[in-house]
Formats: sequence, C-alpha cells, structure tokens
Amino acid sequence: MNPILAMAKKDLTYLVRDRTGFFFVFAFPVIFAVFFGLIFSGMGGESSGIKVVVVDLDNSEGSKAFAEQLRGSESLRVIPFAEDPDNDLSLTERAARAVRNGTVAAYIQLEPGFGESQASMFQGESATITIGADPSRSAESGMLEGIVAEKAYSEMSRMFSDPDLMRDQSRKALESVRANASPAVRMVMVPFLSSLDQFADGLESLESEGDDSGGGGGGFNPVTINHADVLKDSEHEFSAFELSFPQGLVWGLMSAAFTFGLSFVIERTRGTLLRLRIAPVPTGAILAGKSLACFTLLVALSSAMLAFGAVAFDVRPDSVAHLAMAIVAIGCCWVGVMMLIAVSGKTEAAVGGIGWAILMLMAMIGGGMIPRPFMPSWMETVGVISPVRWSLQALEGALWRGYSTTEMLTPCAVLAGIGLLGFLCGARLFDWSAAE
Amino acid sequence: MPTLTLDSLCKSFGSLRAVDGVSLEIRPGECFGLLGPNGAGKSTTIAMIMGVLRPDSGSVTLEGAGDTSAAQARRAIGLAPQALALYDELSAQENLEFFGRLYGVTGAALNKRVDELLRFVDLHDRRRSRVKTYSGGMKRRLNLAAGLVHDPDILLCDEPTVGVDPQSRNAIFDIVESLKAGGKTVLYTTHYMEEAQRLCDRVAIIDHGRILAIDRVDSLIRDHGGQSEVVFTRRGHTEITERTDEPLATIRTIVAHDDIERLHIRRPSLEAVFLNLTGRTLRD
Ligand SMILES: Nc1ncnc2c1ncn2[C@@H]1O[C@H](COP(=O)(O)OP(=O)(O)O)[C@@H](O)[C@H]1O
Ligand SMILES: [Mg+2]
Repeated sequence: MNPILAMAKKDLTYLVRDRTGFFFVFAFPVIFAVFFGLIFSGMGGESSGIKVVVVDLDNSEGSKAFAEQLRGSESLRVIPFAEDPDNDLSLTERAARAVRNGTVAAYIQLEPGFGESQASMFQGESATITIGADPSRSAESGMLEGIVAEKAYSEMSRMFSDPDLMRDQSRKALESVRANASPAVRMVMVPFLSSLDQFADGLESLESEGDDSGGGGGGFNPVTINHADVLKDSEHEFSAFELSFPQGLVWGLMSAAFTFGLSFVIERTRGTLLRLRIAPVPTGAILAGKSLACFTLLVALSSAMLAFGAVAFDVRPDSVAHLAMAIVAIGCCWVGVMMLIAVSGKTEAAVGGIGWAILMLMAMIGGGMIPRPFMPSWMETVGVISPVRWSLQALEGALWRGYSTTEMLTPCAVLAGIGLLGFLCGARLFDWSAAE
Repeated sequence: MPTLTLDSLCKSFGSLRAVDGVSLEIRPGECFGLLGPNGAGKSTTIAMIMGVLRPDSGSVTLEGAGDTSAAQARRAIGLAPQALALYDELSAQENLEFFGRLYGVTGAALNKRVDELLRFVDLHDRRRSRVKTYSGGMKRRLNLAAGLVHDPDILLCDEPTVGVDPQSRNAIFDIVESLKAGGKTVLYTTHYMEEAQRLCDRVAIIDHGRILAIDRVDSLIRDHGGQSEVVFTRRGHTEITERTDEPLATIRTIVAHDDIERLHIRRPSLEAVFLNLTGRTLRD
C-alpha cells in the first residue's frame, strides 16, 4: 500500500477504535443540533415567549381587558401574579423582586387611571404603562416594549372599528382640544376631529397623523411607556461587563473542575494513585486533600477574576459579603463537580470526552451558552440541576441584582448541596484500583 | 524484624488464574527473589501483599502487625512499583518530600531523610530538576527511593531494572546490595535470572501463578540445574565438553593426563533450573 493511503487507513482505524473520539465526531454534533433545534422551534412543551408578570394597579374594565390582551399574546408568557394578603410588600415590589430573581424577564405595570385614559385617548393624559425589565435582558425588553405598544395600538384600532365608540371618543377629544390645546394644535385638530365621524376606513392615515401630532397637548398616543429600575440600588450603573464577568467566570470554573477531575485520572494512569493508596492515609483524606486544592483554586480564580473586573471595568458588587458567600458556595459546588468528572471515566481520553460532554451539557441547560429566558420552559426546569445556572444566579445576585441575604440563601444553599452530593457520589464511585 | 508470610494466595481475573496458591515466607534481612517470566503473577502477588488487591483466598501477614492492609503494616513495608509512580512536574526532592509527608515524616526529620535518600540513589546533584527531564535509569532510582522515604523494614522491588541501561542497572544492584548490608528485607521480582542469581539469598521460581521451587540459589541449581559441564583442551586437540554430575571426580580423571592445556567448569544457571522445571526458557 502506498504510504499515504497506509497512513490514512491507520488514522481512520484509530478513530473508529477510540470510542470517545468517535462519540465526539459523530454523536455529539447530533446532540448539539437536536438541542438547539428544540430550543429554537419551541417544541417539547408549552409555548416559549418572554416571561413577564402583569401588575394591574388600575383594576378597571379597560386595564383588565388590556391585561387579557397581553395574556393572549404569543410572544409573551404571562406568569400569574395575584394579591397575597400575607405579603407586606407592594405588588410592584414583589414584581421587581421576581425580575431580580430572574423568574421573569420583566414586569408590566398598568398604572392607576389606565382604563380611564385609554377610554379617552384623544384627550388628557395618555394611558401609562411601566415596564421594569431585567437589565441583563436588554434585547428582550426592547422587544417587550414593541409588543406592549402593538397591543395598545390594536386596542385603539378596535375602538375605531366601533362607530359608536369612535364618535364618543372624538367628541370628547374635540371638547378637550378646544379647551386646552395650543392654537396651532387646535388649527389642525379641530377640523380633523370634527370630520372623524365621516371617516370610514381612515385607520392607517390616522395612525400616522397620530404619530406626528403626538407631541401636542391632546395627542393620539394611546400609551406612554415608562421604565422602572428593578435594581434595589438605583445608583448601580449597569454595564455589559456585569454580565460578561459572571459568564466568563463560569467557564473558568468549568475548566478548573475539569482539570482537577482529570488530574485524578492522571494519578491513576501514571501510577501515583498506587502510592497514595498504600500510604497509611485514609482514602477520605486523599479525596479531601485533592478537594481542598481544587477549592483553593476555584476561590482564587473567582476572587482574581472579579477583582480584575472591579478594577478594570468597574464591575462592583452590591455587597462584598454576599459576593464572598457566593464564591464560597461556588467553590463547594464545583469541587463536587470535579469529583463527578473524576469518576466519569477510567482513562484520560475517556474523561476528556465524557467529562467534558457533561460540562457542556450543564452549560447548555444552565444558561452558559444561551440565556435562560430563550429556553423552552422544560429546559429551564431541567436546568435547575445545572451548577452553571446557580453559579450565575449567585454571582449576579451579589454583583448587581441586589439580592437580600435571604435571597442569596437559595442559590448558595443549592450550590453547596450540589457540591456535597457530587462529592459523596464521586467518593462512593471512585475506583481506587490502579490501572496497569 | 518481622517475617512476611504469604499463605495460599489465589487471585483470578475472569477465567485466568493469575496467582494460584502462592505460599512463601520472607525472612528478616534476606533478599528474596521472585523469578518468573512476564505474566507469571509477580506483580499481582505484590499488589496483594500491599493490600491494594484483595486475594480470592489466602492471606498475607506481617509478623507482629497482622494483615498487611492495616496502616501499621503499611508503615513497615515500602514499594517500588513496576510502573514508575512519580510526579513528572515535581523535582526529585519535591516527590520525596511529598511521599514522606504521606507517611507522617515532617520537619527536620523529613529534610534529613530526603537528603540522605537523594545521596543514596545518587540523585543529589539533580534533586531540583523536574522528574520529566530525567533518564529512565534516574527515574528508576527515584522510584526506589520513594519506596524508602518512611524507612521501612521491608522493601518490595517490582522489576526495578526494566527499561534501564546496563550502567544504571549496576547502580540499582548496588542500591539493593547496600540495603541488604543495612539489614533491610528485600523482595525482588525479576524475569532476569542473572539478577536473581547475583542479588538474592533465596529465590522462588514462579510460572502461571504457581511456585515451582523455593530455595537458595546454589541449592536450586544443585537440585534442578542438571549436570555441570567440564570444558578442556588437550595439546594439539580441539575443545572437549564433558557433562557430569560429579565435576570434582571428572576433573581428577581429566587432569590425570598431563597434556591438558586449558580447563574450566560451566556450572548450570537458574536458566537451566527454569528450563528443567517448566520445559521452557525464561525468555520466550
Ligand atoms: N487487572 C487485571 N485484569 C486482568 N488480568 C490481569 C490484571 N492484572 C494482571 N492480569 C493478568 O494476570 C497475569 C499475571 O500478571 P502480573 O502479575 O502482572 O504478571 P507479572 O508481574 O509476573 O509479569 C497476566 O496474565 C496478566 O495479564
Ligand atoms: Mg509485573
């Protein structure tokens, strides 16, 4: 055989015989493709869409109808949110908290007087909606604003298609403009409003004129959208680095846990595990020693990276104490992950394949690759097992989400729990026999 | 100093009986050889002595300490495994310090011990270099030293000369001989009969997991080596080889003629012992 062909044949034989290599070449891409396909097609569960809560402070016919409209939107997933007599917090505060927690992407608040203003859209104050969006989800909050405006306009067009309602509206507006608007506006508006009764199908032209004269006293703007800051500490300047540092750090944590998990396997293949075993040291102490080193690395990595973020990009935590709490919990958690990686295979090649695949999966379902709100809800549910998800939540909670100590407890307790479980499972499954 | 006793040790891997009823006694201060070809069951036996592999049946006991999987027994035994068991990215000194700490040696005692060992295996000059830069022979010597950090009474050397150049091999022989001189007990496994013959007081010949014979080297040769050969040359003749059970008597007869120019005896070796016991040569 020609040496080139011989070389090629040898390498292909090698690949086929190396199961993990084979898995990564053929199976992993399929898993990847299916994963992202599931996400983007939104199948496999209820509709996707931006998760929001609606806070109706007006409680009128109009506001209720509008809330119903929002609920009907395909692009939104309105999470039920009702009065809770046991809760001291205001509805707004509770909604803001849900946003901070990452439960929903935003809250949509229909302000008092919403129904009234909407019923008289050509006069007085326009109906006011406040959107409190998660600052980390600016793309969605832009989309959200579009959706809300679209709903408001379609509400307006519904009125126009009802002759009685429209006549009523235009007369009210006419009175109001005559009374209040500036002469210039009056000059345009009065003839226009007077002729509205005869308008049969002027919807589109109306909308565009409505936009043009929106600055005037009466205005056609059916809705004013305000923005509320959901962060507790409104001084906090939000920057993209507040997002990228936790994300980047999570990848660092994964690499650190992987490297340490692999080092266990290297101890086996290099024979040093045998020396550790025959030493008069309990196996628990050996695992504890390795874990301590891994923990130290994780804490050092987190501290160094966040310190760099603070100095270079002004990523300042809301609370240093909370951040310390998050870092310790994260350290515990990823030590557990390290132990699981250590038992994921017997050889370096196997762990390099399987261990890394597990990490990728955790990153996928935990929001390390695509943000959680874009996931179908089943995947978000599955994501609660991912240390990536909880690490991100703990870091963001301490950095800029302004979590209270109680709010910090949930992600930190989950992280510590994952760590403990991982450690115990890993210690249990660890094979101490030395490969020869 | 205690005696290490192996009693009817058995270990199978699937249908393969790797160790099949091994019984032997390693006495204080002796260098005991376990001689057998690759796959004979030497390393498996050592793993069971160290308590890292559970025998299917049989036992290993260290006099005064009981079962060898107990911590007390482990302190009395050191191991130089067949596969190099060292940290490549650490220096020789760091390796020894680490292994010493695992055995609870610390502080000045550790420094002294590590220094001593580095000189003992002739790596003191290179003690600060990373192990990955060492030659095969240097790694082998360090591998031996790592088994000695806690100053055990018994050292198990599993094929310590595999993959080593002749010069390093001699260095390892010297190390083993000084250990013996220092009163240590050594279990030395090998498939090189010259090594067993040169170093060991007593040798067990193992094949397919079974002990075929245990004795002093000269006794093994006497009992299983077969005939000696007397090789001599008469003036004006070519070399003649005579096989005999009684070399002395044969020589007397030969030298009765006064035209003998040269004469020497070829005694049988352990190779011959192995051949006679198994019908095979050691290296096949
Ligand atoms: N972990 C194992 N699994 C299966 N077979 C093994 C294992 N360890 C050793 N063996 C087999 O047991 C036999 C004895 O091996 P070993 O004790 O390493 O021989 P030696 O050290 O004398 O060369 C060999 O045939 C080897 O292939
Ligand atoms: Mg062996």
